[in-house]
Amino acid sequence: MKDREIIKLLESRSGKQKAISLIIDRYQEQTYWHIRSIVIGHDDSKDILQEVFIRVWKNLGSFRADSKLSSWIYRIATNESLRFLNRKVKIDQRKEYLGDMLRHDEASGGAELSGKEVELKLKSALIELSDSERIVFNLRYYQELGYREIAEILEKRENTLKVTYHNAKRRIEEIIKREI
Amino acid sequence: MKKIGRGFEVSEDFFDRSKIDILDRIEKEEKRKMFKFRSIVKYSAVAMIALVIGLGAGGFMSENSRAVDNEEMVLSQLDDSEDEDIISDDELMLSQFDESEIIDLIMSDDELFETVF
Repeated sequence: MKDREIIKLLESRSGKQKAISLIIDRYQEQTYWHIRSIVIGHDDSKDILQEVFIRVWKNLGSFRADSKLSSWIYRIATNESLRFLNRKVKIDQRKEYLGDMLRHDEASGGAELSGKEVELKLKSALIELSDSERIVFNLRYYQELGYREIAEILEKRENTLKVTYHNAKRRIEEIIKREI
Repeated sequence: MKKIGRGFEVSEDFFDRSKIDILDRIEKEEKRKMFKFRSIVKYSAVAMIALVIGLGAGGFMSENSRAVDNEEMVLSQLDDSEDEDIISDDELMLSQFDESEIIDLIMSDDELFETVF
């Protein structure tokens, strides 16, 4: 079923239940990974994920069908994740906090099972980036979204995003080279 | 088995359980919303009834005060009429007294005249 058809379901009360169920099936996983790449910790990501879909549920009526449903959900997820981080820790202590979360994740077995050393290094490098660099890098590199869609999600200009992505990539390369 | 994404991982059934949790929360939110809506309707109805009763009581009170006003008016009118009666009685008495007195005086004057002359 296409997003447009899911949106059509919203016109009836019983359809709204079905619509949210389909939306969760379709977007829950990628939304979770997006949140996880911003806040790192699993428990926090799980809570934020729930908040995101509660918001989606509450605001489905005001969703504009001319924009993509996935972009809209990514935008809510990004805002919720940043709101969480801002509430939890100050910007200048962000790297330290995310580093702790990453070490906790590795200690609980996450890193061993997910395997590759490069992946580990990349994760470590990501927490060195600013929030905006990390978010743009995640959406472009992992989610493979086009600049146009990222611009729609983050409400930024495409050129600004290109520069941000380029800077993020350069910094990651530097960090990885430094650690080898 | 674990699910892996972006170097992170979660248990295989995480997303199934998560979906149940989300739908459960949505249901609770809906119930809370319905409860809130019902409360608003209920309180509005109570407020409306209170207003109607209040207006009714206000109307009754004003009727009562009007009745009291009427009663006071009747009483005052009665008082006035009694006063008028008393006054008119007094005037009658006075006029009767005057007449008898004058007659008496005339009579006594005549008698006196008769006795002198």
